[in-house]
Amino acid sequence: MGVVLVDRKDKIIAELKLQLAMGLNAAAIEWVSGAKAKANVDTGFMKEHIGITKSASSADLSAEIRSLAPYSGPQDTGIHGNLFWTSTYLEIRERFSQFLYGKAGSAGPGVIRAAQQDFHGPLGSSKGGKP
Amino acid sequence: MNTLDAGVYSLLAADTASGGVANIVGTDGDGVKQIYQGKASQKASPPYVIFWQPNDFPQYAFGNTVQSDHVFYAVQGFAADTPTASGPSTAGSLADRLRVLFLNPTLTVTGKTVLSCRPLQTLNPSEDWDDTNGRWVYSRGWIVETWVASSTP
Repeated sequence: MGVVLVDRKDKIIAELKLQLAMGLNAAAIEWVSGAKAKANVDTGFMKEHIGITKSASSADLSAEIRSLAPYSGPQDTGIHGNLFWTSTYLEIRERFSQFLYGKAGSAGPGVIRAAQQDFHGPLGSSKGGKP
Repeated sequence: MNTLDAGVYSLLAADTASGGVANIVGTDGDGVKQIYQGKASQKASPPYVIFWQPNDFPQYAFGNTVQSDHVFYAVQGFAADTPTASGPSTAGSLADRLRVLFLNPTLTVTGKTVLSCRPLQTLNPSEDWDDTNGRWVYSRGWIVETWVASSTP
């Protein structure tokens, strides 16, 4: 009887980064959707120019959302502003950990899979290694 | 206006000392304090303050019983240039006062218990062109974060 311990942290880290990138992109999509839904509309230019200008990836864990109309600031906090951007930010902030880690604050399936491979190793269940 | 709105309004309206919010904003053409919920009156003239609640996140226990509310308020001061003070300066004074006023205030909310109230972060400063009067209107303000338990202790 024996156990082989295998260092698979690189795979776990890679899966974690992928999970975080997917979470960031989900948050970005939600932000765009929320801001568009609340945006003041006259010509529709501002609403149509709210979007994701950079998506997150495993190699770059940051996403960027922009409202490109130059008058977006006053439409948010000006005398006729409706906080379309600020209130969406507050919603995303409230739910940000859910986007990143899931509702239970747990690792995603990819991370768990990588960790289980680490735990079971070559003598694990996939090769009939149960005691 | 719900009970929390009423509490926030009372807090602002009662700040009448020199340098206080109600002292800075004065009254509008109807003789009403220039502290408004949502939108300013058409008879308002800067400086004035607007407050409103962009978000309320109920916090639930099992069975979806509401335990508390995590509520955000936006409180903004608006000001224009006058012969004696610049608009940005007055808007800045209002924002400074709002920061002090909303940090652990005595906030009375009928039927509820205020667990916490604090300025969370500044709102994006803005400047709007007031076409009617040919002037810029400047704004500064805060997002205020409150936790309100659903019942009194």
